Amino acid sequence: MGKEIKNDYRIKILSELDNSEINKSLIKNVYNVSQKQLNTLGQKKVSLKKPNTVNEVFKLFLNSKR
Amino acid sequence: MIDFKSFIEIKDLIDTNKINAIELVDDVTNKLEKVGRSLNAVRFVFKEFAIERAKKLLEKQEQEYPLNCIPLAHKELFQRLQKNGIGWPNEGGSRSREGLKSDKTAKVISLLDKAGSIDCGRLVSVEYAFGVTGHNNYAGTPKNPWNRDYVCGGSSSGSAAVVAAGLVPAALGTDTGGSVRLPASACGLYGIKPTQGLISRDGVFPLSVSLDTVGPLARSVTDIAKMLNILVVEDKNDKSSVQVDKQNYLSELDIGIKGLKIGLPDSYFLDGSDEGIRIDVINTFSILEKLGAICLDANIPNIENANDLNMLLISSEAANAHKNLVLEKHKLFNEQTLMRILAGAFTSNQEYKKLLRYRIQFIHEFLHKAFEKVDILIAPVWPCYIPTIKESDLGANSDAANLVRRIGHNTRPINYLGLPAISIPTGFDPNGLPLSVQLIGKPFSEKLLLRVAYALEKQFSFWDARPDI
Repeated sequence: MGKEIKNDYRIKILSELDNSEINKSLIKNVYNVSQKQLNTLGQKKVSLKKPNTVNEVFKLFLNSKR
Repeated sequence: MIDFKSFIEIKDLIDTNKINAIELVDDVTNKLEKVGRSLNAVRFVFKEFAIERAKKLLEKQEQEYPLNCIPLAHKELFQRLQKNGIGWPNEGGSRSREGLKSDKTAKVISLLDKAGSIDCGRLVSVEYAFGVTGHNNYAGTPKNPWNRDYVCGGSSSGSAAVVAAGLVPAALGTDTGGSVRLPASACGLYGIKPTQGLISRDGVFPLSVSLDTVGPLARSVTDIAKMLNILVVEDKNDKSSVQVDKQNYLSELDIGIKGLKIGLPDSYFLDGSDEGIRIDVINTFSILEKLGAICLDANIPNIENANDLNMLLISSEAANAHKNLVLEKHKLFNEQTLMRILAGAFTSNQEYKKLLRYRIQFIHEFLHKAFEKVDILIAPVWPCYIPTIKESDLGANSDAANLVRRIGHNTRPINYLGLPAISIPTGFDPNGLPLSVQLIGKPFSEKLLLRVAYALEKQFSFWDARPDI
């Protein structure tokens, strides 16, 4: 369902942002928000291999309740 | 003419020839222009189109339409391409898209057409639907009809303002982190965020491909149910769309809630909300018990991080969809939108995959634990009283990030879980602005949510409460 993000462009995006006329304090703010959220994600362990989609999770759950 | 009337009341007036459909459209479009614009809620009114549509519907009066000649207007994210090739504006509430036009008609708009409604125009959205307060320095910041100094909430702010002002009986919004429920709540309306995949997003301006949902806002539960009867259709053009058994959302609304198990989560929601909000939720929980529900404490898994991870997923997908335009036209963006979209640009491909994978695992764990003993959960919508437009206009400074995070505290985790939730008005805060609770259900339990909402609607009699327009 989710279209894949094609590039790992963390460095590229920083460079692009630096080259843009976007306010530098805003870029710093944005980067800090992003890093905080990515750190939260980094701490999560993913062990469940299946199901593969949200709808499959729903179906499994609803079937288990029947 | 139809001010504050429900679908059934309007249909009755039309069917008994007390209102002529053309005069009705004329009246509604005039009020959208006058009252709607005074609330900063209206973007585009298409009077000529709507009048022509009324004439055509009058020619087909032998056909029975569920929404016969009922005038509606929707959030500006819903595309329409007229048969003559004219596309309605498709600006996503942003100066960066000024002049862009629709190249198709959204599936949900086609469904409402088929049901006989008359589309009168488009209503203000927060830029790119990416904001919780409703501020928009390009399209205008809608004013809350209950008190014009206060926000409507976002991002379906125009939809909420216009329905609350009684100009149309219902409007469509989108909800990716709370964007139907927050404005519905701030304006004293019912607003439903459906289960992920239940309603098509085809032809709707995208924010987050994984999380976007479409939902109606209305002044009554019956009108929400009527909208769902029309909108719930599988759509092959939306990859998230799922096939569900056909349901009549209007049936069984009034059979009561005796024996239903309703849970008050033992952590997170009330902890993060102000005292007045907590009291309102607990009072509503008590009312549900008096109505016959079995009210229990619900032990829910730790969802502390669901708000942040939802924000990360929205930002990552918004950056993927819109990054080039953002970089090219960044001067045309509101700084807060710019900040929130760019925050997702740092997510690598690997992190994005983990984000999706972890979400599935989280939903799996949550469902089995949270709904082990209960059918429905109750929680606040806003964590605080509705703020004024002035005090919540924080631009892109660090306080803004905290405010955005806080306002979505109770709504974003539900989008992350993909579950259905409905906001229900319960009363008024000390400033005279509406208070609300949300009911959260198992996947595809919209019918049950509506039943409980209907029982509460009868208790609170919010239908009779009207802002002074």
